Parts: sequence; structure tokens; C-alpha cells
Amino acid sequence: MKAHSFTYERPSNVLEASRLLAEASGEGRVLAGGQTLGPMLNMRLAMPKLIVDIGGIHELKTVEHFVDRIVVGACVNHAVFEDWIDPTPLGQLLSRAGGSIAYRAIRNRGTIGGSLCHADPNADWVTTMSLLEATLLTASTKARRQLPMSEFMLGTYSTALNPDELLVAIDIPKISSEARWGYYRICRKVGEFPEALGAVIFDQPRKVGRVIAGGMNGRPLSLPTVAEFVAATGKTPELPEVEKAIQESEPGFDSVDLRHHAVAVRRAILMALA
Amino acid sequence: MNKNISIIINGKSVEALVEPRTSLADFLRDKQRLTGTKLACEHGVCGACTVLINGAPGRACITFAATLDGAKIQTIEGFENDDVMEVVRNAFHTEHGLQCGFCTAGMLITARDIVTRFSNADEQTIRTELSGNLCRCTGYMGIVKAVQKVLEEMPAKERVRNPVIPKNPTQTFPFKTFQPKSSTQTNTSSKRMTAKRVSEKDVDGWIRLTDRFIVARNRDETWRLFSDFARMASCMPGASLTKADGDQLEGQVRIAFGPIRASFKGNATVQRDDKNYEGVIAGGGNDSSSGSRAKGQVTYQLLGGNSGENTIVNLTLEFQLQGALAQFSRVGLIQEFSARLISSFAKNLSDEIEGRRKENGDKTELRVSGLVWSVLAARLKALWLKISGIGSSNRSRS
Amino acid sequence: MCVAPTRAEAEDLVQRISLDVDELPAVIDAVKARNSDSALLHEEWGDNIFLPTSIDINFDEFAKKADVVVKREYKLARQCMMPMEGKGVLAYWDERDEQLVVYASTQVPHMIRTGLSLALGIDQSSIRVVAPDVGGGFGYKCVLQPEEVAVAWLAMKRRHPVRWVEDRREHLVSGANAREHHYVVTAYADKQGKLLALDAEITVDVGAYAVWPWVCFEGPQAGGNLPGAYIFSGYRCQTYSMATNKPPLVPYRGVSRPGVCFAIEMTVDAVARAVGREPAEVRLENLVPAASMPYTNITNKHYDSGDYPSSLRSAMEKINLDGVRARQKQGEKDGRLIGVGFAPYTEQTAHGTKVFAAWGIPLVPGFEQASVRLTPGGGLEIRVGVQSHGQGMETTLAQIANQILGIDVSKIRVVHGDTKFTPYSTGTYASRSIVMAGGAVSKTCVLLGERMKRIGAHLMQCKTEQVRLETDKMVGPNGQVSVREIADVWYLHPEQLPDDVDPGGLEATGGYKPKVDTGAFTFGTHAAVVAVDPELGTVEILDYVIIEDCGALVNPMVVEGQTYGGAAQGIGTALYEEMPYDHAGQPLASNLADYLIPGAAEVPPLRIFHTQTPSPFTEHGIKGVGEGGAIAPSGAIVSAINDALRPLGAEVNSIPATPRRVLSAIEAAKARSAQQ
Repeated sequence: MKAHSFTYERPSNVLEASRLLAEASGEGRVLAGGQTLGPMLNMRLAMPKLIVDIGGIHELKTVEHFVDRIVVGACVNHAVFEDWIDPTPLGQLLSRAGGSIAYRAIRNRGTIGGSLCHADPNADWVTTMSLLEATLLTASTKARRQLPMSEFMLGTYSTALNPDELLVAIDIPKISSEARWGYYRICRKVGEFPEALGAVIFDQPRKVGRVIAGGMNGRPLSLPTVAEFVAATGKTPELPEVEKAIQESEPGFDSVDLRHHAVAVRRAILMALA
Repeated sequence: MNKNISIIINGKSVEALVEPRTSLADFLRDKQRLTGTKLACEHGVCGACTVLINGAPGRACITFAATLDGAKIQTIEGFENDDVMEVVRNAFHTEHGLQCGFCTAGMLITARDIVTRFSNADEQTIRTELSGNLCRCTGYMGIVKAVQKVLEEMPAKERVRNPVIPKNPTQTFPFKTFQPKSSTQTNTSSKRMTAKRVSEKDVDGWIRLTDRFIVARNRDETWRLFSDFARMASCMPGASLTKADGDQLEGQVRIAFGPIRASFKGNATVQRDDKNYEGVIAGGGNDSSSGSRAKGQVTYQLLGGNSGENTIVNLTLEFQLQGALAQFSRVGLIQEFSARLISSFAKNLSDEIEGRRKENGDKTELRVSGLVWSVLAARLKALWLKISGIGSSNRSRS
Repeated sequence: MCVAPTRAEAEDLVQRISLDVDELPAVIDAVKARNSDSALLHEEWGDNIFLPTSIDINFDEFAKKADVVVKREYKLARQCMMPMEGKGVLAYWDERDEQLVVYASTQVPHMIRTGLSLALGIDQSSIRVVAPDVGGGFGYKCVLQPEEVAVAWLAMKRRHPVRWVEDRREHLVSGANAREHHYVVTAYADKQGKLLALDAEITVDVGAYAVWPWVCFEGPQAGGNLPGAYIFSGYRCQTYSMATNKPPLVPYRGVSRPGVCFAIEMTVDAVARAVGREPAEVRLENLVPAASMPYTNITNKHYDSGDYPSSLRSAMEKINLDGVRARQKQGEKDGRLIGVGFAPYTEQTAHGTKVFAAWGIPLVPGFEQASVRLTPGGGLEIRVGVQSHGQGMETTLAQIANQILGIDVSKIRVVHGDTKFTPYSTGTYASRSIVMAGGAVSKTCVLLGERMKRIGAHLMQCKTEQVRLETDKMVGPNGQVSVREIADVWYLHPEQLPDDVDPGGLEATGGYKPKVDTGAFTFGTHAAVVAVDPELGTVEILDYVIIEDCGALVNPMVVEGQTYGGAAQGIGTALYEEMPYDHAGQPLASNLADYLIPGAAEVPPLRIFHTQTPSPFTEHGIKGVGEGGAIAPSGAIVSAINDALRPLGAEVNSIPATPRRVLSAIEAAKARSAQQ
């Protein structure tokens, strides 16, 4: 379990990184916190010719607060969210999601952008950013784009990023201080990827009600009918209702997996309504 | 190309030339003779290699030394004059917090981190915080007791450096019912694909996927494409033919699955039934770099559509992986990936038959959405530019 | 073998090699491998059976008296042992000594030397095996590893040092595996649930090849150990040790006993349910009573001592059985189901010559030896051939020497893990070291003490019989003399020695084997209270109690450490650990995200209570303790899970009891009741 031999570059800005990636014509890979890529390199599952380490680009570590949004640099570490002192519902939710990831030593180095770009369906940020309908800001030497989370992730380990394009920041819309949220992970073991994830938000002043099932085999699944039911009634749907809603959008789960996803969603709703 | 780094290890400046692939742990153990840092899993789970990187615990096994130019590293050998570590070490000693000792260096560094963040913690919190460090000998009893002992016996003001703020969801406002507006980010998924997971279930190791599409061409015309293997192969993402000799094919299939790349080279045999418009391409190949093998087959069947001008194509993809790429329990992920693969194969075939397909791939650099600068607040725009490293350069004018 | 200056470069070489393999059908399921139409692993055998055994002791006679018959099928997953340090070996040819030096991460340095000598065809005196600090073993390192042979051979061939260190992926997919047993058990009991007879068919998946020297003994051992702490009169058991396309099965902490303990406890539960009684009470009535000790059981195990029912009673009290039953009646606010389970167990430790010889293995342990030496400074050096890799023998052997000689433990150094300095020993395995090496140290210290006393008596001008050994000194009727002075006289001032001094001096080697060498039987009871989430099938251990009796406690902290660690591994067996294979024989867990071992959050606080029933047969009444902790957890935890699931009519009989298995059991029970 030793990585293959690769070329290493540590550019000081995003455009330089993009240029290096373009030159590598698809054989380059971005290294952010390295908490996923590192293991994959050690296992030789990933063997890119070029590693572009963006850990030295300080601008990617910034967090900016706006009136209606927070813009988080792609290289902000999970532990920064975990330690976030922000009593608003959004602050608490981000802190909960960031603090749920793996272990402290991983959270100290892993980054939100790295996690989103790796697009593991079971990752906390993938579900959380879908829930919050974040917009992902990207840049390359050719263009800058803003991609809604729903269009950013295409499937397991697959994003809409071009080979020379970098995720630079995540634009997270703020939620009301009256908003209620729930976040429930089903894990075999503390620190492991959740096998099922439920994330919900009910923001009455903004008329936002969303229910997300994460940890699917691909993109997180939004369950608008469930969200509408909860928002309109303030009640928690029964388990078979949630199972039905999931199954309608994503058939093919066996009864155990379906159950786990439904329970995660339902318990997230219970948490939001508690 | 090796890289010069200058780092501070346990207070001493070290200049070194490192191969980019060398992990911090290997660098410490093999080049710096600091063998207190242990390697036990080399994929970030077990915690045996935990060291302090710029003051915070990090995994030395998945951190490459080349990335640490300018960093400060503290290994287990570097805590001789650390007053907190002295108390932690003594507590491990008196509480029997170690047996074989292999996890101990990482465990001590994590334990020290816990007591420098928490002024107090209940047993469950301690256990959760320790969960990134595996121990196979002690059952964690002595380790948990040791951390408790430090928390109890060493005053918080002498050890807490980076206090943790306790957080609980404070849902103080009552829930009010409302009618949610429809989402701005609708689920645009054309097709979602799931598959069963494995683990304790009976797993036969085969992945089977089917797809079905209709083309606006009659059956004979459609069958012609299915007789031209080079054209057919060009529709399979990543596939290419190097040789087609009657019903014997030679070629490769390149797979890109996130950072994972594989290239299976091999051959296949075609069995065709012109009368029934059916065929099977069966074969296998090796990816030498991952030491993996694949075997599988594509089955296709053409049915005449209602009008006679349409053809229904039934596709089945079946494959089995062996070797490093197959040795994971999260088969659902591979199935989802394969489902996307077969659906783009189907789309390409249908485009090819109907003459919509461009030569040499049609991948546009810029996709949908994007570039809606007008909605951005000026300040956000400036921030984005700054982060993107464009600053005030001319290129930033959009 | 790919050889390079660094492991990374060697892996580069490996990547350039690809195998061209003609694939044959894989044999993956040990039970199906018994079918006559199964693919064959070793074609020349004609079947896949490594070793069949069968026992029939008065089975028909007692089975036919039964009022109640219950039959169950049980399954244990394949596991990996997962010491934090994997295997590792470094070898070089020492030109000056003309000797092969092998540093190995092993529990059994002398055995490795013997094995290397056989495999390489060189004399044992030309091999030195060193095992300095070893990062955990648990049985994984008590066999001769193929890599040890390969690396040693290469070092001789290349005449430069060669190193190989196992990585975690290698450990998981190709390292030795353990535990995969399958049982079909039928119990015959009377109306009260008193066991009359047991019929068992045990299939053990031993992988493709046997390991040296523990050739294929897990199946027969399972057959012999299944009765456990219980009494019954008729027994029939067939065992099959089956060859499959998997890595070899290596004896892992507890060896067959975690499997048999799980199987027998589930069976006793099933009997209790069938007769409608409290399972704990049914257990009490079936255990070997104290009055029968020493007791030779149905499979001829010689239980030396102990009060098994009182151990169970104590567990019932500590876990608060009555309280749990009351709580169950009330139900839980969160909808979870509570259950309680018990697993009494026996742990045959330090199985002696007779036992191993009967198994017919190539290397039978005999007398254990220790060398002790009073050093010139008045300290003590103890040299033993066993290996300590977390058992704290540096402490416990020193304690035993201190008890005999009075020398302060801080002045005692225990030397182990090097064939150059230590007497031959088969090594550390089978919970034998504290009994065997502890006994040897004790006996040898007595020998040395006599010699010291003779010198002391001469210096104090008294008779040898009048000398007492105290802390770092000897006391006689007319005064005292320090141990250091004794050493000074022997080493520096021999002119002061008595004429009849033992010329063997202050260094002695002695040997030891218990009077009855069929093993000292440690015993105890584990009890668990669990909460099962019926929506998810997840299990939380709410309370865990261990009543432990390993005879005389040499060091309670060390005993507790061993027991806690074993219990944590047992929790892994019960709830988490599994190496699945697909039908083509692909191992499906190549990393620690797929293969789950318990972390601190998965292990509950364990509450341990000691009782001490000294063995009548061993030195100081000591019994072994290394494996016991790992034996009972599956029995106790899954018994508790099934107790919780009882209102739903569901039972889990396959472990680890993952959420999927628990949920599937609940679904199956629902389907059954819907059918009725």
C-alpha cells in the first residue's frame, strides 16, 4: 500500500492549477485535504500522472458571510465547521454535518470542496449541500461557472467539472433563524460513512421545505411530497409512506436498504419537529 | 521529480529531498529514524500513525511529505517537555492503557488532543472522540479511564488550549405549517439507478444491467449498425477495437470511476443470430495496473416496432470483476456507475443509428447552467474572482 | 517475489506482472463443498474434506427419552484477526556467525526456527529468530508464515538483508482467516429443559491449505468443546473440516470456542423457549455442579475445579436479571426492545502434552523451561522461550520470581523473544504462558533460591534451613545479608564461598509441566443487556458483565486487560466483523471501512468481577486467561438480542448480528405469522 510514482505540483493560485490540469490532459488529479485521495493513492486505486496540490492556495480557505448567504472556500476543513460558533440554525446544521465526518484527525485535514468533488454518495457534505441547495462556484483558465448542487453531482464519483476546472467555493444560501432542521445518520460504526442519511429543513418564513435522502447509490434524493406533507401538517409521516415515496423515485432497493433510508428520513423529520 | 521541503520536526528544522509519493509516515520512519509513528492501515482509518501537523492531529499515512513544506510536525518522540502529554502518558501507565503498544503513539496524541479541547467530557464523548484510533488489545477500558483521569485530575486551565463549544440544536421557535414553494434545484435526474448492497447477502459477483430504447429506423437498418463492431464499440464509453477478425474481436475498455482509472485489454467473441436479430459479445480482459480482471458480455436483441419503421433495442450488460477493483463491499456504487455507463451506451447507439452523433466525441467544455453572473452580488463576484486567483486582471471582466 | 530497495518500488514491479489464469470453478461455501457434485479444490482427494471426525456416546439411549426436541442451524462469518501490527519479517545472513538471523513478528520464535530449519534444510543451530516487540498476535502469529520462509530463503540467496512487512490490504484479502463455522444442532431435553442428549453436525471452512504446525484441528476441537460447561449424557457429533478457495484458517483467540459457545447458548435458549422457562434458570440446572468437581465430561475433558452455577448466579445478580425482566414488561419509550443474555463458558488453558499428542500435530509441547540468573549487581534475569506481545509477562513472570526469591520486581528483567538467549519453547498460544512459563519460573527460582540460601547461610554462619528470603535480602537467626552481597561473593569474592557450594552457581534452568496436563480450566459467565431498534435492526449494548475465574490472580490489572481486550474482539465477532466472499471467490472487504472492527464507541463499559478457584494441578493454582474474554460475547449478546426479539417471534442464528440480519429475522418472523 504505497502510492505509485507521480509528478507533484503545488500552484499558488487557481488559474495556475487549472493550467497544470489542462496540460495533463485528463491525467491530473486535484489534491485538497487528501483524506480520500490519499487512501486511494496508497491502495493504487488512483494512479494519476500528476497531482495538483491546491493546499497552498490560501484564498480557498476563506469563509465570507453575506446578508443572505455564506460563501465557503473549497479548502475549508471539516473541523472549521465542527468548531463553528454560530447559534443560527444554519450554523448548527453545518456544524453538525461537518462534525459528523469520520474522526477529528480526518476533519482537521479533509475539506468540504474535496468531499463534494469526490462525490461519494454517502458523504455528509453531498447530502447537506443538496439540502441547502448550495451553488458551486468553479473556475478554470477558460471560464467560471456556477453550478447548482443538483447539476454538479452526476452520480457516484462523478461531477460536472471539466478536467481543468476547479471547485473554488460553495455559495450557501442562509436560512431563517426560525427554520427547523433535522439530520439523521445511520452508521454501522462511529466515524464510518453513513449507510443512510436523512436531512430535512423547514423554513417557514422563506417557504422552504425540503426532505433529502442521502447515502443512496448515486445522487441524494429529494422527496418533495414528503416535505409538502410535513410543512402543511406539522406531522411526521408514517414509515410506509416514506418508504413509498423513496421507492417511487428510486426503485430497486431491497427491503432492508429501503427501510434504512426511510427511517433516516423519518427520524430527521422527527428531529426537526421535536 | 523529487521535491525539496523544509519542515520542522519536533522543533528541529529539517531540509530534505522527497519523492512526491512518500507519505509523511514513511518519511519519518525511514528517513528521519522516528519509528515511534506506526503504520497499521495506511488508509486513514486506524489512527496508529497520528501525529500533530501544525498543532492538530493528522494522519501521517495519507499525508504526503511533499505537501508539508513549511509545516510543523510533532511526533510521539517530540513530547518530552510537554506538560500535558506527561500527565496523559502517566495516566496510560497507571490505568493499563496499553498492551502490545502498537496503537499507543497515535492513541496518546489523540488523547492529548481530547484533553486540550474538552474541559470536561462524559464517557460517551470520550469514546466517540477516540473512535478514530483502533486498539485490538485493551478493549479501550484502560484508555478511556486514562483520559477520564486526566480530565478529572488536571485542572482545565492547565490543559485546555482550543476549547470546544458544546452545541445542541436549539429549535426554540415553534413549528408553523406552511406551503413550501417548489425547489429551485429540482431533481433533474432522468434516470436513477439503484442496486442491492452486498456484505452478508448471497453475492454471485455478477453485475447485470438492462436497458431498452427505441430508434426511428427499421430493424434491418438498425441491425447493420449491430453488425459493424467498430461503430458499435465507438458507442461504448471508453471502448475501442484494435482488431476485428470475423467474430473475433480485440480491444480495450477504459473506465474512469472518479479517481480510479482502469484499462481492460482483452478479446471477445461475437455470436450472432441474423435471423432473430440477436447477438452476444462475450469476452474478458486484464487491467495490469490494478491487477484486476473482468469478464462479461453484452447481449442485444432487436424487436420490430409497431409501425415497422421503429426498432426496439434490448440491451443487457453483464460483467464480473476480479482482483483489487472487485474487493469492496459497496457494490451498489459500481452498479450505479454501470447503470450510467449502459445508459450512455444506449444513448450513443441510438444517436449513431439515427445519425445524430458527432465524430470524436461531443463533449462540450461548457455545460448547461453556469455563467449567470448577473445574479451575483458585486461583493460575491469580487470574492469569487479573488478566490479564483484572477484578482484584478483583465480576464476577470465578463 | 519482487525485490526492490523500497516497498513502493517493489509494488511498482508487482504492477508490471500480470497473471494469465485459466479460471476453475471456485469452492466458496464449506457446506456445499461437502456435496458430491461440488467442484474439487484438491482433485487428487476425490472430495473436499480435509478431515472428518465423529463421536457417538450413548446418543440413541438418551435421545429417545426426550420430551422436547429443538433443532437449529448456526453460522459464524469468516473473520480476520487484525492485530494492529500485521506480519513482518526481516532476515539476513550473518557472515561472521554463519547464521541466518530472522527478525519476525511472531508469538513463537523457537517454533519458527524449527519450521525454517525444516523448510530451508539447514540446521537449527544456524538459525536465530528474534521477536523483540510484537504488535499483537491473537493466534495470527503462532504459525510458520510462508513469508518467513520466503524472505529467509531470499536473504540466504542474496546475502543482503531482506524485509517484508504486511500491509492491511494483504492482511484482509490474503492473510489468515478465522472462525467460519456452520452448525446444525439438535437438542433433546426433558419437560423442565434438562438436557439429555445433543446431536451436532459441525462444518469448518479451513481454506485452501492447512497451516503449520496447527494442522486442521479446529473442527475436531469444536466437536470436543461443544458441550462446554453443561452436562448431558448422550452426544453425537460429526465434524467436517472442508477445503475452500480461501486463505487458511489459523487458530484465533478462543479457536473453536467462540463458535461452540455461541452454538450451545443459542441451543439452550431454544430449549428454554420450548419448555417455557426462564433461560437463565434452565442454564443453572444444566451446568456442571460444584459438588461434581473435578469432573470429566462427556468428551473426556477434565474440568479441574470451579463452581459454574455460582458464577452464573453471580452474573444474574450483577446484571440485575429481575430488574431487566421488570423493565421489559414496561416497554421502552423509544420503542426499542430490551433483552438479556448469558453465556457461561469454560476455557481450557495450557493444554498439555497429552492433548496435543492426541491431535496428532507435528509439534507437541512438553516441559516448559526457564533460566534464571542472579546478576552481578544483585538483580535477576529471567529467560523464557515464550513471547510476550501485550500480555504483560515482563510484569507477571517477575511477580512470580519475586514471590519466590523476594527480589524487588524493579530489579528483575524478563528476557524473551530471542532464540539465542532463551530456552526452547513452543511459544505463546492457547493461553498457556502464565501457567507453563510461570510454573517454570517458579520452579527454577526455588532451585536458585536454594543455592543462594546456601551461600547466605555460610555468610551468616547458620544452617541453610534457617535462612528466609525477604525483599532483596536473606534473613537468618543471627542477622541478614543482602542479595547483592550474595552476588558479590559468587562473582567477585569466591574466596568467601563455602566449600560445598553448588558449582552451578547463581544460574539455573528448570522445567515444569502441570501434574495433570490436560489443561487448566478457566471458567466464567458473560452477561449482556441489549436494546434492539426494531425499525433498523441495530443493537446497542446497554450493560455488560463479566464474571471471571482464572484461578489464582497473578495480576488483576493484567487479567482484566486480557479479558477486556478479548471481550472487545468477541463483540466484533458478535456484531461487526465479517469477511464476505462472492461466488467467484473474491473477498469483498479489502479495507477497514468494509471490515469493521470495534472502536471505543462500539465497546460498552465492561464490568468485571473476579472469583478465584485455584487449579489443584498447577503451580500456585494459576490458570490461563488469554482467550476467555473472546469466547463468550457472541453467546451472551446474541442470546440477549433473541431475548429482545422474542415478542416478535424472531431469532438471529447467524453472526455477526448485523442490522440486516436482525431486520431480516424480524421480517421472516412477520412473514411466518402472516402465513399462520
